[in-house]
Amino acid sequence: MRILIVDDSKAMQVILRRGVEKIDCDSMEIQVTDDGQKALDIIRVWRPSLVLSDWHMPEMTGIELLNAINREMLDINVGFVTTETSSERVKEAKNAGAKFILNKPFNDEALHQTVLPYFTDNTGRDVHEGGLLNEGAITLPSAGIITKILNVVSKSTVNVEIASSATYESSWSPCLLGLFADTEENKVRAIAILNLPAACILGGSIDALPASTVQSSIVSRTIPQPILDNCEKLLRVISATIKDQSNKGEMQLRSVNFVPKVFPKIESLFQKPDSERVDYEISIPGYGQGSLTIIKS
Amino acid sequence: MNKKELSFIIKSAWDTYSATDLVLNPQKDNKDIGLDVDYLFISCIQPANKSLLLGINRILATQLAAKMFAMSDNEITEEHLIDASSEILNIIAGNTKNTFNEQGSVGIPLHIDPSVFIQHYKHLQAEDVILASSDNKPIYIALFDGDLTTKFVTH
Repeated sequence: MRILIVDDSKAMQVILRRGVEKIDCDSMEIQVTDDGQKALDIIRVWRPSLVLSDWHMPEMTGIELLNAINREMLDINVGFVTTETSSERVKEAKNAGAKFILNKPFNDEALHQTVLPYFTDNTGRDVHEGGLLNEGAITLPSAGIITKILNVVSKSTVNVEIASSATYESSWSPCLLGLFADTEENKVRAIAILNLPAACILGGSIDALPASTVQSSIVSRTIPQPILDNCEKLLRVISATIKDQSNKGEMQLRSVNFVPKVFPKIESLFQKPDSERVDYEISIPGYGQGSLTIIKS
Repeated sequence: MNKKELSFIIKSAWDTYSATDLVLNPQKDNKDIGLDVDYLFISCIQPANKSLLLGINRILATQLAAKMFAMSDNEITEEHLIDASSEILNIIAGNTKNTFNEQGSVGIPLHIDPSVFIQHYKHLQAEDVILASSDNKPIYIALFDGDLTTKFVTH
């Protein structure tokens, strides 16, 4: 995984580098430079898979750099780290193919949530590629990317394994439902279902809540607001890992709903074949284990 | 632009990158730059035609740079210190610009000799002055009408 950081502030170069290095990724290589033109020279030779660029820089701006990358048809993910928030410039960036705009000031958590979906494995392949998950227009995240995300967001070690297709039964009630919609039509394209233990252990581990607090939530069959807020944060990150190949815009979390009882609509979703879903078994030592299922809608 | 918005922007930028949180001191009415300001930076915001000034003393600027560069205070050079302070002003000015005019731009912060500013431009009336402190050391941020960067020789 090669990452190029482009910013005319040396302090910001260090902050970005330090933040990215906290992500546990094999064979990560990082280069930094202070200008778009120098970045383009590096990109042509070094071929990074991700470029984090400032917008305003001497000689060549970030958007000029992105346009140059497009002209040379270089297949590289580019995102901006900037104070720019104007709708005109955001539109210009998105139209040019920018993957994201991260606004300064930002903390490591925001940086990780933004860049993680664009991390690739050692071979440079998108970690979403893998065969079984990318049939059709929607590509669901692999266990690898879910593991990476959960371990960055959570303060505990999270283990994730692909599980066999779960069936919806009373043990899934109550559960937490996240709806992911495309930004163009706002149509629901995928749904995440966290069973109660998964929601509680994941939401609790983000704030390093005591295991006893998490367990009492599971026993009382309720999700306290701080845990719910953390689950929403987590689902928001997951939304960026669901890829829409049909060019209907990015995927975003439309809503998070606590479902207290067995719900027929969810039951029908669980009947979808393996090619339309991914079931993950999640375990956190000391907290317990739970299930997450993401299903194409 | 109201003072509350400007204060929020300053605090947000400072608290994200500094080791010590910013404390706003709205009760102070002394709007002069004090003798304890060792470094002064000005950034111009267009087309709003405003200037944002950051005044900071050496100890605090060193602490800020040390946090941003993840170095100890004694490793911080003049170059580190100016880069870190400039970037903080750049972030504050960029976010301030967003409240004025969506299509605007922010100039690269200029490092100005504080004595020159105090001597020649003390009479300038700032639109808004934010007096703050961090680790009990003062920070001075002022918003002026017009482009002050054209009036100074840069270092």
